[in-house]
Amino acid sequence: MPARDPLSLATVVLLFGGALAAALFVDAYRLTIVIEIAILVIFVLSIDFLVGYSGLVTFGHAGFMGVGAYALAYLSHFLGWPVGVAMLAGVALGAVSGIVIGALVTRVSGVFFIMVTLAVSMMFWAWASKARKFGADDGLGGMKRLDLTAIGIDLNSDRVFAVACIVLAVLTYVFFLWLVRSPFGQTLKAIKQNENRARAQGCPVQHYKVAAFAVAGAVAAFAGELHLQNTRFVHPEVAHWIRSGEGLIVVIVGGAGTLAGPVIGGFLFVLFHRVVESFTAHWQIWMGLMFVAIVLAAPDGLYGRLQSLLGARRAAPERRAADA
Amino acid sequence: MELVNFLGIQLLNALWLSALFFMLAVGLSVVFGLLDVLNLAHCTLYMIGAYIGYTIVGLVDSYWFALLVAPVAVTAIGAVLYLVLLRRLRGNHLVQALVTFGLLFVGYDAARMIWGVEQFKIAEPTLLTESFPIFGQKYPFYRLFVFGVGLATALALYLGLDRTRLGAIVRAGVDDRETAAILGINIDRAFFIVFCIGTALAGFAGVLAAPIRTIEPGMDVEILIPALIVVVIGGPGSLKGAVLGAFIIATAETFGPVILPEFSSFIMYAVMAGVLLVRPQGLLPVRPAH
Repeated sequence: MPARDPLSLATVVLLFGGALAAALFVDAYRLTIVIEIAILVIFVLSIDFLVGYSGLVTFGHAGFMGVGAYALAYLSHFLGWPVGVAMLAGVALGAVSGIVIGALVTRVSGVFFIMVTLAVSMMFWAWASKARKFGADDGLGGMKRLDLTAIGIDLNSDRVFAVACIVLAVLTYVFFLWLVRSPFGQTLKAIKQNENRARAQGCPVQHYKVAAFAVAGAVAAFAGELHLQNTRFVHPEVAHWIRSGEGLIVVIVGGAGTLAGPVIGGFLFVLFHRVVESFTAHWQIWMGLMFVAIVLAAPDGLYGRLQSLLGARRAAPERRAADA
Repeated sequence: MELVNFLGIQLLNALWLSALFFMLAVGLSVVFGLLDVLNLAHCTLYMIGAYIGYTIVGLVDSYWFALLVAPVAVTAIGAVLYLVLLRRLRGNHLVQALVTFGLLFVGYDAARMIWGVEQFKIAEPTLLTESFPIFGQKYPFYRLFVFGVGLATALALYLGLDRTRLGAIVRAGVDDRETAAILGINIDRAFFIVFCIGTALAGFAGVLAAPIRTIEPGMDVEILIPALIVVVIGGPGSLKGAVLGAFIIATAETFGPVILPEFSSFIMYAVMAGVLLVRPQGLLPVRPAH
């Protein structure tokens, strides 16, 4: 990514600005759409950090959302911790599980990697759907949102919560923008382009991959915590591999290896889902066909296509690597 | 004696389940290992096989006819899928995984649109409705039949790969695709046939499973994970690996809930993690590790 990218900036400012305006003015039903978009964007940015920037194609990232959601539910609901503290602990747990799982799954590569990440996340799902304490596969309601009334913010209002989620999505975007430009992010990119070369130059490749997992795990856990607070409900579905696959699709459709891409993908996915759903009960067939069509027609994703349409495409070899 | 009877029944259950897993996993595995196509929609074809079988039984009231015709119909669908989509994606695992993942959704909703959300079963064929006494209780013949079919399939595939001309072409193509092509062998056609065989087996497995398991939307995703795990632990592309993997996972699936009810849903995944830690290339890989 070039140091200054006006197209990327314009795109995200437009999208987040639109979402913020929507959060202030739309009705209660549409507010839920805005919240859903913001949380999905945070989740898919963390997937893109692994897939697009580190070359680690995970099919199980929703597992980390599950870790965040269940950790928060356990600490705040059962142990009575303040939600803020429990959220921090949940994010930390997401990072720790990222390290443990990253150390395990980076031992294999290629299609094995896809399958192992899938299986590990489903292990969590399998546990959650039997965990009686959390209502097993019925889930458990009555979860609290973060209490910020001390500083005059009432997150129990969906409108305020929506604004907060958008602000957090923007912060996540800025965080990853900073991270991918940092020496850490650049090293990951080098590993993705040519792992052997990076290793030959003395780079501890394995450590970097595990660290990438820790970061992505923490951010996804955070998204899981927001999801829990949005629905006030904890449910194993949050960690199901279908959700991981959807997240991956959103990244690829938007444009892996760019940060604007997953943002575009996240907006489109939720809007498409809700619009089609209002016409027909069979939204999945259209979603599936759209996935297939976009993946085939625009392998660089929609953002890549946008770049080439506007002729803004400079030499960006790393984008190609998304196909690897 | 109680214990022996009990374990005996569980073992019989593990046998028929491993036959089912094998017939699905072998398609996934061979298609992936030989053709380098990762088809997440493989089990969707299994589901479609079961549904088509159900429809045929409804029309002509013959299980055997359904068992014969449904795989043919499924193969036709699979062939179109391969020619139109998958063939172009060969070698690009990420795009394959995503496209076939998209097809999972399409298949799920297509099944709901055509057959609705009700649960169906196909009745066992009249020849096999009986049970036979074993381990102190009655055990349905049909399940034994499923196991027998699985065993016969494994044997036929083994002989086919080992003894026939097509098998030799496939082995040559896997070893060195370009050299085989230079020698005038039509590799693409051979691989297409292999894909069709895998697809037919998925449809076949769908009808076979229909009297025991429920036919419903989502039955594909439910069995996809064990099938993938079988492929991973056996070693992609490995026929013997698929047999061994299917038996291990089916055993874990049947004995797990009995021995460790708390952790039953984990066992399959734990087995896979363990295998990958010790042998990342699978238990019986096609080629030894480099």
